[in-house]
Amino acid sequence: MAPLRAGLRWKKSKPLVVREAIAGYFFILPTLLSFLVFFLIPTISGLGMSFFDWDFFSEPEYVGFDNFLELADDKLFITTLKNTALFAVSATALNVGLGMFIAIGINSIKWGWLKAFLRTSYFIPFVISTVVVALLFGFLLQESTGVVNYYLTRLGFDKVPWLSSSLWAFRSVVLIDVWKHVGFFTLIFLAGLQAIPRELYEAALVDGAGRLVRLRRITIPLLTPSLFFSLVIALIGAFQVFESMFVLTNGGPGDATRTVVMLLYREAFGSFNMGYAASMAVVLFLVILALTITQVRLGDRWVFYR
Amino acid sequence: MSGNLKRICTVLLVLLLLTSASVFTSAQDEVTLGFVYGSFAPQEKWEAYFEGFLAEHPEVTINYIPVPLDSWGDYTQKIVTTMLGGERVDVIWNAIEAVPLMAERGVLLELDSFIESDPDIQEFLDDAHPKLLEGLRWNDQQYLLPFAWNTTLIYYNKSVLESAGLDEPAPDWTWDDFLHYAQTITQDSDGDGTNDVWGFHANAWLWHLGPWAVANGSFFLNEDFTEPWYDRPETIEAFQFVHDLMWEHGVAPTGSFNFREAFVAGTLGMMIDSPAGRQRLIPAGMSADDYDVNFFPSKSGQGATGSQWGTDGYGITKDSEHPDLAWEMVKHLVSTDVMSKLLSGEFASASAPARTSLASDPVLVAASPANYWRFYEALEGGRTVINAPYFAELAEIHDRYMSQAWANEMSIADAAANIQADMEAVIADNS
Repeated sequence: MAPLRAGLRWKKSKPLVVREAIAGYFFILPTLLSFLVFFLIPTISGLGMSFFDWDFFSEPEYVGFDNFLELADDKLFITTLKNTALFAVSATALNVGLGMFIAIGINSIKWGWLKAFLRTSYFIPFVISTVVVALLFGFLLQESTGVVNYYLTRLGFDKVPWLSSSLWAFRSVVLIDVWKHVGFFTLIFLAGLQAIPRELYEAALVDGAGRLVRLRRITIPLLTPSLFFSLVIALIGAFQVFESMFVLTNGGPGDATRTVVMLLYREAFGSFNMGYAASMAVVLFLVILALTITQVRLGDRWVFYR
Repeated sequence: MSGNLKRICTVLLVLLLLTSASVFTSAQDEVTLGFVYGSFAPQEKWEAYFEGFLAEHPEVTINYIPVPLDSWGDYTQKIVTTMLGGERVDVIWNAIEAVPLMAERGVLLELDSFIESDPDIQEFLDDAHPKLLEGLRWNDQQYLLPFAWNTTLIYYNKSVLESAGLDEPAPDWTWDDFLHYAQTITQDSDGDGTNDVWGFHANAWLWHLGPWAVANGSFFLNEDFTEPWYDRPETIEAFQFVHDLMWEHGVAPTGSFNFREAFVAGTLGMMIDSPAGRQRLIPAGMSADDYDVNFFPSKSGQGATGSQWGTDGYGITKDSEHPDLAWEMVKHLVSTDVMSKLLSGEFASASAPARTSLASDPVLVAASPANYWRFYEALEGGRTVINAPYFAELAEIHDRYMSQAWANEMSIADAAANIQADMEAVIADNS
């Protein structure tokens, strides 16, 4: 019992603030540890690795900025960077725009049961694994025997080369991404809408404001925090896209749907160029960081916090 | 202490010493061997394979290490990562594509020293197909012993041919014959502008496209994979012929297509598949009498029988702490007893066994179509899949441009020219 008593004495001897702080640190310890082990240490290792030529088998060789200089001349990397940026812009615009539109639509429904049903329905694709979604759409979008083309031809349209033409393959992966993620953004906007005080709408009604005026003057301004959050999250996620394209098109036809992360994966785990792949990861990280900082800076000008 | 008691105590002491010595010895001799395999196969399959080995070596415990297999390059990398992560691996199951990479990077132990000092293995070496043994050598050294192999031929659905009024094709058929078959089979029976039955399915995979070039006297690269052959007229015209089946003649569907399901359903008359393809047809309700296999057609019917083939096998890692026991394990895995399990039983696989003595096994013959022997002909005159240390890069270059040609966004000639240039650059970088 002696050590316990000693412990209790020690506990009592500390001021409440210190004891609370220690308890607090214990609470965040699991998260802190996982952040260190799974994020910070790998990130720093990846940064270090980008200055080396390492193929997994032999000793790493320090090459300074050579990997980054090589990247600047790598046409395939530039192509994948463009593809990634185009995908990020398209998918973000559609996910966030449609998400807001759907949320406003659902929020205006009077029947509670229908509102709950739609809210759940839109969210279901988000909880399905991306690989499963990609495989499913792979079947649906087959050119010759796919269900979608079957119904299109029944309606008198031509078959669409959903995954086998460069243009359509890119459109398809964007559309599939939107199908999967729009429910998440709808949920964010629904939460934002429900936080808008009813009194504001009632006052606007009394002042004779119509539906469009209320939307423009109350709903959208008060949704800007949700909009800002959605844009940041969507853009970061879109720049990291990998699984859906890997499974659906494997980057093809040609390199039409190849993204930076896909190229990075191939360099690291197909060609064993770990250093070169790490330099791609660093560049991608810097691009995402720059975009996020820009968004945050610009956000000060248009995000309205009550 | 009386004399009797002394004697009893002495005997007991000796017995105790002997017992502890034996316990100590057996504890010392206990060995764990790490075995890496593709995780698509259940561990129970390998346990069944190792039954005899474990009975002979009760001191051995096997640490089964499943590794996801998406592509051979990816699988190999995962094995290396597993080993770098501290996992002790003694024996590896891998394929011909990975041999150059694993040998060059010092992952595998050469097996020639074991072969030279072990007369028991001669029986296997005499029985295994020599091309398979040769294929698993790199820089004049043996790295894997072959277990099962695959090649590709043209499968044809007999009832689809019969419905189209076609006889079974001759082994020396020409491209014109093939096109005639595909055109006759292709049907839009309800006139809605969509074909209900397709003559053939063509895709740009290396595994499916290579044999067309082989049958036309060429291939993707030369024998030692140091010179691309995409600029040879024989290669280009072979690929152009296949491409035309889709875009010129409309007898093969474009885009992705579930060809095996269509073949079983009778909506596809001909497809490319390997001996392993049989195993996928059986559960779908097709018997060996419902289909057969033929060689790839050639431009002028010169009767080219060769195709493209690959094989898997077993090897020992350089990190193995028990190479002699690992060698015993490899020998066991290529024994007739284990290889027979490919043919029947719970874990049967339709990949062809490396031992030639099993080629005429009654179980195999009964489960195979009449012209099953053509797979052996195809192996005999065929080329190995691309197996060079830079295999993954070459495969990706092929896919990059051929996928555009297959989407009709680039001509075959342009795709071939681009592939030629890019492959030459990769080979130059690696030489």
